[in-house]
Order: sequence, then C-alpha cells, then structure tokens
Amino acid sequence: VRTIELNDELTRLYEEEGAALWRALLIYAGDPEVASDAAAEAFAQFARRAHDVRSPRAWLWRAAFKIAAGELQRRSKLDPIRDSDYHMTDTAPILAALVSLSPRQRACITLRYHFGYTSREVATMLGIAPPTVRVHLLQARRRLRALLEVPDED
Amino acid sequence: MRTEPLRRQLDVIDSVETPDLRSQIDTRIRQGGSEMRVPERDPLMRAGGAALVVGVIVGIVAALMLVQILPNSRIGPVPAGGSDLRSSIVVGVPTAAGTTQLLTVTPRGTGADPVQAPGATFAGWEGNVSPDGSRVVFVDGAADDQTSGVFVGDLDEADAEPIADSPPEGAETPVWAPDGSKIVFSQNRVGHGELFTVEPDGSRLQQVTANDQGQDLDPAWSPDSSKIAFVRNSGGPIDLWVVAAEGGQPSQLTRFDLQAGGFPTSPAWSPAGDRIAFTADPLADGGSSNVPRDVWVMNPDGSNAAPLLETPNDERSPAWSPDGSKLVFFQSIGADPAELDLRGGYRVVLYDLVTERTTVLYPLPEYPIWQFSLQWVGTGSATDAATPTPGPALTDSPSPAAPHEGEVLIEPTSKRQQAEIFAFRAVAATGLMDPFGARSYNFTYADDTTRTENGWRVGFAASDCEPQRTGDGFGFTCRGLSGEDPDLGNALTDTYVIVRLDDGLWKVVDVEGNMLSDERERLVGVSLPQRSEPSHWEFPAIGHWLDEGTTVTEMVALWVGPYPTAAHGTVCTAQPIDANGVSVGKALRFYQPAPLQPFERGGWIRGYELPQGSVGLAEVTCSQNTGA
Repeated sequence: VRTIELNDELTRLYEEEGAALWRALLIYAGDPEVASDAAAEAFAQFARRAHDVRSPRAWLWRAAFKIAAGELQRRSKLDPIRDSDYHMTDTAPILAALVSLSPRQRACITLRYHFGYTSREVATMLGIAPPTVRVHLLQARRRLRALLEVPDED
Repeated sequence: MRTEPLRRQLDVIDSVETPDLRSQIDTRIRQGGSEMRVPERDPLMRAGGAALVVGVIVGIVAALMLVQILPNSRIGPVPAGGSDLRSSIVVGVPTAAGTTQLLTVTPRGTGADPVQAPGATFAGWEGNVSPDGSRVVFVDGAADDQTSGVFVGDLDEADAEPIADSPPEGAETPVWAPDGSKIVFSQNRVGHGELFTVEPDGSRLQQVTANDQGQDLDPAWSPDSSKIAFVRNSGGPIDLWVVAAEGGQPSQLTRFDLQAGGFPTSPAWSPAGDRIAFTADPLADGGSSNVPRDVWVMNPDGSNAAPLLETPNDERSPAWSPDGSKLVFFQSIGADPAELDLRGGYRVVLYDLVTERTTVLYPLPEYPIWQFSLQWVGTGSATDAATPTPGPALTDSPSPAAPHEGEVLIEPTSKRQQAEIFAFRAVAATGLMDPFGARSYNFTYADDTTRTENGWRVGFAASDCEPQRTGDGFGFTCRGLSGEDPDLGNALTDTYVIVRLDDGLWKVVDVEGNMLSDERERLVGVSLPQRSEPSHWEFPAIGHWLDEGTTVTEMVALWVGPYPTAAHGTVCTAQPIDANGVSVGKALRFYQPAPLQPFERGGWIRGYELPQGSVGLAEVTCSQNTGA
C-alpha cells in the first residue's frame, strides 16, 4: 500500500499559496465548497506528480482553476437554476459587486489586478485566449465602475 | 461615495477567512494512492499462454518493416533565412523551452520545415517577419506583460535587439508595414491601450491612436502602408476601425453587437486592398462559454461582411496569399467548444477563394492556439507577387469529391517525440499493450513527457481489460487503474517508461510507477531499430483469446506521427503468412479513419480466425484511402 505524507515541498507550497488560491477560487466559483474541493484536489494532484512539475505555483493554479471550471460545468448541468453565489460579506461592496459579474469576469479581475497574474497567465488558467481576458477585464471594469464608482486612474 | 482605486478595493479579498485544507488534501492523496494500487491477479485467459503471444508479437513487429511508407511526407531543413522566406507561409510555434520557432508551411501541403536560421528561434512570441524575409520582430518573453517590449532581429543572427527609443512597455502584436518602413504595435497598459508605430531601427516612435476607455489591438496594414485597420475595445462594443498610419481621427468599420454578435479580432487586409478578412468571436454567454469562431471577409469600408465558411470548427487568424486568391488560417480539428482555447488540436488550412476548397496544410503541435502566429510573408506587396504556379498533380489523386485533397503532414523530429514514439513501440513490442494481458499500458496523450537525468520519462496509463462477447461480435471492457481525469488529462498517467538514446539506439532504461514486476523485467533493456520513415501506421500489439473454438485476434493499429494525410483515413491489408513467409488464408482488409492527434491509436480487428498454417504473422501494407 502506498502512503504519501504531506511532504516538505507540498507543505511549503500550501503555506505559500493555499490561502490565496482558495480565495481566488472562491471568487471565481462563488461557492466555498467548490473552492475547497478544487484547491484540495489540485494540491493532491500536485503531490502525486510533484517531481514532474517544473513550475509548481503555475501548475497548481492552473490545475485548480481547471478542476473548479469542470465542477462548475458539472453543477450547471445537474441543477442549472442552483444559485451558488456565495454571499461573502456585506461590509465589502467590492465583493458584492464582483458577484454580479460572470465567473470568468470576476476571475479575470481578481487574478489580474489582485493576485498579479499577467493576461497570458490568466488566459492559461481559465482556458481562454488573452484577447478574451482583456475583453473580460474591460467589460468587468466598466461594470464595476458603474456599481462602485471606481476611478479609472489605477 | 467610494473612490478608492480598484486594486485597493480588492485588497479586502485578503481578509476573507480561509479553511484549513490540509486534512482534505491528505485524504485525497491517500485515496488517489489506494486507487492506483493494483491487486496482483491471475492473468486473463490467453490462447497458448504468454510465451506464444510474445512470439507472435515479435513476428508482427518484424512484419511491420513491410509497411508501406505513406507518400508525401517530407522532412528536412530549409536553407537559412534571408529572402527564402519571401512569399512563404510562416507559422510561429511555441516550444517546450518557452521560445518560439518559425516554421514554413508550403501552400501545397507538402510539409512544414523549421526555418534554419539562428534568428528563427527566439525567446518571445507574436513574431512577424519583415516583407523582404530578412528580419523578424517579436514581443519579448518578460514575465509581466506590463514590461514586455518589442525586439527586432536579423534572421541570420541569433541576437535580437530591443527597439531602442523609449522601450514600449506592454507592447503586443508588432507588424511590419508592407513597404518595410515601419512597425506598428499595440501597447497594452492597465486599463487602456493604444497603437504606436516605430521605424525598425527604433527611431520615430509615434502614437497613432488614443483610447482612454479601452484598448486598440490587432493592427493590420493596408497594402500601400498608408492605413491601419485595428480592433477597438471601447469598454462597450468591440469593432474594427481604420486610421491613417500617421494618426488622426479613426473611422469605424463594423458594428457588432457584443452580447448578440460577439466581436471581431485579427483583421488582415488583402494585397489588392479590396477586402479585409478577420476573425469573428461570438463571445457566447457573455464570454462564459467557448464558442467556435469564424473567419469573415468584408469590403474595406465595412460593407458586405460575411463568414467565409460555415463550419462547426473554430477558425481564426486569417492571412492572405500574396496574390489575394487564398487565405490561410487556423482551424480546430474537432468542434468541442470546451477544448478550443486551452488544448491543442488545430491545424493550418488554406482556403481557395476561387475553387472554394479547403486544404489542410499542417497540424499544429499541442499548445494553446493563441501561442501560435501565422503570416504569409510578402502579403501586401501585391505588385511583385509571383503568379501562383499550380501545384504538381498529386499521385494517387483523390476523386473530385474528396474534400481534403493534399492533406499532408510533417514529421515529429524532436528528441521528445522520438522518445515518445520509441517508448510506445517498446511497450507494444514487449506485449504490454495486449488488451487481454494482465494489464494494458497505453500512451495517454497527456503531454507529460519530461526530460530527466536518466533520459526521457514518457507517461503511460495502465488499464485492466477483459474480453467479452458483444451483440454481434467480440469486444472487451477496460477499466483504468489510475483514475482518468479527462479535464486534467495527465492525472491519468501512472506509469513512466524511461528511454534514452545511446549511440543512435533508443533503449528502455527504467520504469517508474505502476507496473507488475515481471512486465518490468521484460521491458527494461529493450531496444528497437529506429525507423527511418516518418509518419506511419504501426501494428505493434496483438492479443488472442479463444471463444467457443474461435480464435479471436485483436490488433492495435497506431499512427505514430502527426495527423495522416488523407481525411478519409487509411486502408490497410493484413496478409497472414506461414513460417516460410508464404501467404496463407485470406488477407484481411481494414480501414483506419483519420487520426485526430499524433500517436493516435486505431481500431481493432475482431473475431478473426487465424487460417490454417498461420504462425500468427501478417504482412501489413497500407495506402491512403483517397475516397475514390
């Protein structure tokens, strides 16, 4: 029987990326359960093939978003009217505003502007083309501006 | 009123409480581990036992040497850059090293060749070759696209230089003017982006458009270098616009309804200046789904815009032939929207506007499609474009009804692909692909081959199959041993075959992961003579079982190499022979449909009774099915 412990590399990666990844997944999926499942599965997949992965962080985020996307797709088929948007807080208008965007739009916004990934990296994570990422960014910013009066100058 | 910048407002994300996932991760690791654990079990029944099966397989592998090479495949270098690239179709292909390699693809579909010039491989993307074929401009590979810059280099030299004056940060999609005098690029800054031109030596950087609200993207020169068509994302609708190359007031060419009709990208001006081709992106569900794109063509004033082809496939990034009679573009091989952007599965196709025929020129390696670039060098200089010479008559010419004549491929010649092909052949030749074996090991297409200090580590997946009768024949059911994850793909892999090239001979040096010990002993140390022909079908695996007195033979056909040349597939004949090599019994004729990806595994022969005198060998010959 194979047993795999959470080894040092996995532990370090979890400590460095776990919280940020989970938050990004939460904002994307709008559902803490999906975020937890996708993050945990991505770490577990990483553990099984860590020695193959050249860029652990990039691999982890990409895998987690693919898993979350698959789960969202599966759920939308199972129960298309399910409202899984997670009401994160009433005290942060930005989070409430993000919920009104599509999952990809809010993922683009947060990955690009908060987590600091480039358009190409966001594109790879979400499985879409960089021009589409830029479209999402601009549409989403426009909508956020309307909702929040976010200034343009940043 | 909240007026904090967006980035600042987003900082609240960091205060969202997060769960501790460590126990969940640990549980999943353990579950995954136990799923991959395989009980030692009795081998399934096999006619004649293992020894016979191995003998048959070795015989079949020997017979493979008789397999006919498919015509028209071609490999080999193209002479160094310079003017040889004039009028060439140039594809920028991403490499495993993160660089871009330029290939030329012939318009008659006789193959593709790496451009053998030092400057044809570069650390960047969006490469664009100068109209005279001597230089290349590209965007460098800086990690953050806010600092990426434009580089220009001679193809004959390995080093490219950044454009000197005021390095344009966030630059994208540089394109040479048809007269060679300038380069236009878009500059993507946070929140907005504009078009700039610069001379190839870096002088005279000039802003061409202003767009505070959105981004101007994908510039395309008019053939006389006086105007630039581009995509304007206003933050609302996205449309094609045109502006004088010197700047000025742009005018709008298209009026797409973003929500209902999507948006246009990648315009391309015809060499005569009378048409503009572009990609229409439907952006379905507000961009929540991937939907196939189409190539459209319109008049340069935006009138008569219409799709070129109505296919379920994704088509994008058109480029005109220098004489304006054809377009090349990327086309997805399948039509599965979920796969379109991230996975590979595209090819370069040529559409003839006169005959309205589509010809497949080159299947792209498996990278996200947006990492490729496509250009027909010399486009725009219509005046000195050579009259297109008709292609040579194809031997085995397809019937006129055949829609995909002339589909031909090039060859995987990288070490990595050689390693994958050898690993597959070694596993098959050792009998480990036998579907009736205790286990069957199969290549997974998971793109998880890695280079290690021991050699190349090629991933396989083990499955466990049982023969069974089906309604009108024979079949078998298999279950994966490692838990297939079609979305992640590589999660499937649980067995690694390490192969190494020593003194010109590939050899299996080790196996890691999930493999029975006796199988491992058979496999490690195996080497096979390298096959010189490029794309071909192999019939490496065979299995037998007895069903109420009938010997059922199952054979795996495998396409090693890129996609086949004929969309209709390949017809093969297997002629059983006796110990002296004399034909016995009836030849079996069978058909392999066109593979959809390299290393495609073909169909099975079912319920085949070995003829009297047969020793389980067959001569196998194949030819393309041209549809005639």
